[in-house]
Amino acid sequence: MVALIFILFCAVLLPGMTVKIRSFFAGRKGRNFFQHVSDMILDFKKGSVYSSTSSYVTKIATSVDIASAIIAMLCVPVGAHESLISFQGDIIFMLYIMSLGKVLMIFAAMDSSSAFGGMGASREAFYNILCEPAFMILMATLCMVTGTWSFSQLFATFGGESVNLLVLSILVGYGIFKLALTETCRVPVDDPKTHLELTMIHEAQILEFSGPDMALIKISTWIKSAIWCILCINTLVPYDLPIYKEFLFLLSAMAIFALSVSFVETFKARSSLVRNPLYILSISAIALLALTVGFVILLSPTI
Amino acid sequence: MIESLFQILLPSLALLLFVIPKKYIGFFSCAVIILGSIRVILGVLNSLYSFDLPFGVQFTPLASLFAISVVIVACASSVYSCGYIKEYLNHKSRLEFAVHFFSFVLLFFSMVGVLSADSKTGFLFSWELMSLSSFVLVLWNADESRKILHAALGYLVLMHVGFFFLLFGFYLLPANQGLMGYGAMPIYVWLLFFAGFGIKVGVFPMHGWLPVAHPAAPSHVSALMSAAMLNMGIYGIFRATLGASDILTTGIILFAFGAVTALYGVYRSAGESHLKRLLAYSSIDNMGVILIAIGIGAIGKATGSSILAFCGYSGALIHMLCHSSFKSLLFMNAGAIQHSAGTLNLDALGGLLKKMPITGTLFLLASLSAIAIPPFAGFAGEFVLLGGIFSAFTLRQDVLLALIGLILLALIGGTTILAMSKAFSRAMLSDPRRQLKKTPEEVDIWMKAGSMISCFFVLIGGALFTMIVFGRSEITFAISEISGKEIMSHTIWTIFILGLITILIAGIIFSVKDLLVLKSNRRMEPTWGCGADNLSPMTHYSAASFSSELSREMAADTSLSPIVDEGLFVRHETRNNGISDRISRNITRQLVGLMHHWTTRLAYIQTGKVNHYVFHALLFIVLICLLSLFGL
Repeated sequence: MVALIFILFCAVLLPGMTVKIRSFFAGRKGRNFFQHVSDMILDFKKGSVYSSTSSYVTKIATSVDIASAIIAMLCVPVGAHESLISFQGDIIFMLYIMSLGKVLMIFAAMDSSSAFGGMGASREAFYNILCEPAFMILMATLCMVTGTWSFSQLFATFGGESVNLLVLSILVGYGIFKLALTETCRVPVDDPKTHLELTMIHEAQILEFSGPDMALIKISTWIKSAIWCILCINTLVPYDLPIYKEFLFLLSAMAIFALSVSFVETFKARSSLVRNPLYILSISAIALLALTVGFVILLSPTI
Repeated sequence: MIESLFQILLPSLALLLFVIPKKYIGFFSCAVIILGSIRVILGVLNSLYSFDLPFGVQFTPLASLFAISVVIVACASSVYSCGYIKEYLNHKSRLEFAVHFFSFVLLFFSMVGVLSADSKTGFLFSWELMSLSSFVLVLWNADESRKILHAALGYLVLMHVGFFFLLFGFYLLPANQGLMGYGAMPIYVWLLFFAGFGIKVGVFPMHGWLPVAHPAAPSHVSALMSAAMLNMGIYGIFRATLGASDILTTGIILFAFGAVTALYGVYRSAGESHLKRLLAYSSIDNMGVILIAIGIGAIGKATGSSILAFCGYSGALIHMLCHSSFKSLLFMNAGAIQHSAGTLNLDALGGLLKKMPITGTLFLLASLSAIAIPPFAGFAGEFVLLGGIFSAFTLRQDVLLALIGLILLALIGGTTILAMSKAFSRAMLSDPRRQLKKTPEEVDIWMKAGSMISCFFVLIGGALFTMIVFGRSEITFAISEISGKEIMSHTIWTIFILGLITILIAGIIFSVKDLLVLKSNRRMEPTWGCGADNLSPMTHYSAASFSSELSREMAADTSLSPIVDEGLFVRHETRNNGISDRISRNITRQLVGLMHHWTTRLAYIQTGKVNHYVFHALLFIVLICLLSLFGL
C-alpha cells in the first residue's frame, strides 16, 4: 500500500518537476507547478470528438490503456515496500500487461485513418520490438543476482555495501533510465513538444483524441513515467530508512530523475528518426554488459 | 470387438456423403466429425484421468493432449464450413462437394489415426492418408487458377519427400524400440525423423509450402491444416525427442532450428501484406517457438535441471494447444473477410469492423491472443517458457541458453505485436483504401458459430490448457521429480485472473467516462487532414508502410517487382510492394534445377522404341533375380 501511495505521489509530481526544471534551464519562469492537473480536469469537462471513420476500438482504447497502466503500477514496489500485487513472475506480467495498452493505442491510431496516426503507430510498434529484449535482459540480470523473479523480493534483496553491486546497479540503472526515456517518449527518441507531425511518435498516435479520452491518456502517461522513474530509483539507490526520512529521500531521488530527464531534453537535440533504432539497440548492449558483470560477480564475489 | 467395429464404422459413415443431396453434405460431414470427436474425447478422458469409459480411442497421455487440439479445430472448422461453402452451391457439382467433404472427414480421422497408432505401418498409413486428403482439400478452388494447382502439387511433392525420410527412419529404427524409441534411438534415426516431421511443421529451409498452400486452400481447410495438422509434425518430433538416446544434441539442434524458424517466420509475417500469407508465416513462427520450447526442455532434461525440462516441455504443449485455438479462429476470420469483402489484400481492405461487428470482435480477441496478452490464450505457453528461462537465471543454471532464449522470445513477442496489429488494423479498422469488390456484410450463423467455438477456447484456454498439461506432466514427460511446478501453476492462475481484472477495470473506466460526457457533447468529424479536406482513402496508412521501418532495418528484399498482365499488350501493370521470400524461392529453384539436371541425363534411355523398353524390362527382371539370389 505504501508503494502505491509513493507511485501515485510520483505520478502527480513528476510532470510538474520536469517542466519546472526545464524552464529553469531555459531561463524561463515556467508554468504553474500543478498546471498539468488542471489541464487534465479541464479535459474531463470537455465534450468528445471522434473521427467519422473510427469504430468502437477508438472509444475503448483509452480505457484499456489506463487500466493496463494501473495494473502495471500495482506490480511495482518502492524500495523495500512490497507492491500490492506480488507473485513469482510479476516482472514479465507487468511488461505484457503494459503492451496491452500499447497495442490498443496502436489500433486506435490506425483506426483514425490519418496518415500521421499510422506513422506514429508503426514507429511505436517498431521501437517496442527493440525495447523488449533490453528490458528482459536487464530484469534477468537482477533476477540472476538476487535469485528471485518477483519484483518485491528482488528489490528487497538487491543492494548492499559492496562496490561490485554498485557497479552493477549503475549499469542496470543507466539502462533503465535510457529505456524510460524511450518508453515515455522523451528526447532524444521522441519530442513531446514537437510541432512537426512527420517526426512525431507518441503525439502522432494521439492526434485524434479529445476531451475525457485525452485526459485518460495524460493520466496513463504520468503513471507510466512514474513506473519507470520508480524502477530507476529502485535499482540505483538501494535504501532502508524510517518512513518519514524515506519520503524526503524519495522526493529528492525523484527530483534528480526529473533533473536528468530535463537535462537531456535541454542540452541534447532530438536525434533523427533513422538513428533511433541504434539508440534503442544500445540499451540492449548495456543490458548485455550488465548481465556479464552480474555473472562475473556471481562467479567470484571477492573481486 | 465392438471397439474395432467403431473404428471402421465411423469413418465409413463418411461414404454416405456420396449419396446425399448437395445441400446437406456439409452438415452431414459436420455430424460425422462431431461423432468422431466424442470418441476422441472419451479416449482423452481415459488416458489423462484414468477413467474407464467405453468406445474411447486408445491414446498415450502425450498423444491425447494433441488430440484435444485436433478435436477443437476439427469441430470448429466443420461447423464453419457449413456456412463457408454456401456460395459454391450453385457452381460446383455434387461430386465435387462429396469428394471435398469426404477428404475433410478423412483428414480428421487420419489425424486421430496418427495419434492413436501404435505400430509403424499404422502410423505411416495414417500419415500418408493425412497428406493425401489434405492435398485433395487444397484443390477445392483449382478450377479458378493454375496457381492453386501448382500450390497443391508442390505441397504433395514436399510431403512425400518428408514421407520418404520417415519411411527410412522407421526402417532404421531397431525392432525392439517400439513406435519411436524408448530412450535409446540413435541420433541418425532421430535426424531422419526430424527431417521428415520438420517438413510437415515447416522448419526453416523447408517452410516454403505453408505460405503457398494456405492462401490456395479454402479457409476451413487452412484452419484445420495450420492449427491441427502442423501439430502432428510437432507430435512426431516430440515423441522422437523423448525416445532419443543423445538428448542433449537433439535439444541443441531443435533449439537452433526453432530459433531460426521462429525469427524468420515472424519477420516474414510482419512484412507480408496478404492476410492469409501473413497468418501462414505466423504459424511458422509459432511452430518455431514450440520447437525452441521442446529444445529447452530436452537440454534441461540432459543437464538435469528439472524445472527447465518441465517448463520447456509443458510450455511447448500449452503453446501448441493455445496456438490451435487462436490460429484456427484467425484463419476462419480470414475466410469470413474473403467471403464478404472479396479480397485478402491488406492494402485494399479496411473498415470491416463497422460492417461485420461480430467477426471483427472475434478477430480482435484472436489477435490479442496471438500477441500473448493475458488473459487470452496464447500467453500461457509463453509464460511457462519464460518462467523456465527466468528460473534458469535465478538458479544460475544454463544461463547462456536462457539468455539466448530470452532474447529470442522478446524479439518474437515484439514483432508479433507489429504483425498482428498490422493484420487487425488494416483489415478491420479505418476505411477501405480501395473500392472493394463486394459490399461487406456480416457472415451467416454457421460461420459465426464455428468461430465462436474457437473463440471460447481463446477466452478460457490460458487457464484450462495449463491445468490439463500440468495435471499429468510427470507421466507425459517421464520426469520423476519437478521442482517449482506449484509456483508455476500459481503464477499462471494469478496472471489469468489479473488479466480478467484488467479488463474489468477497463470496463468500469469506460462506463464512467461514457457517463461523464453528455450525449449532446459528442460529435463525429472527419479526420484532421493537415488542412486538406476530403482526403482520398489512398492516403490512409497502408499495410506495407506500417512494417516499412522493420523491413528497412532488417534489410529485407523490398524491391518493387512489377507484375505485368500476361498477353501481347500490357493492359495494366501492378507492383508487388510486399517483401518476397527469397530463401524459399532460391531453395526451390536450386532443388528443381538439380532434379532437372539429372533427369535430363536419364532421359537418353527413353528412346521411344518398343524394343528398347522390352530390353529395360528384361534388365530389371535380371536385376531382381540377382538381388534375390544374393539374399539382399
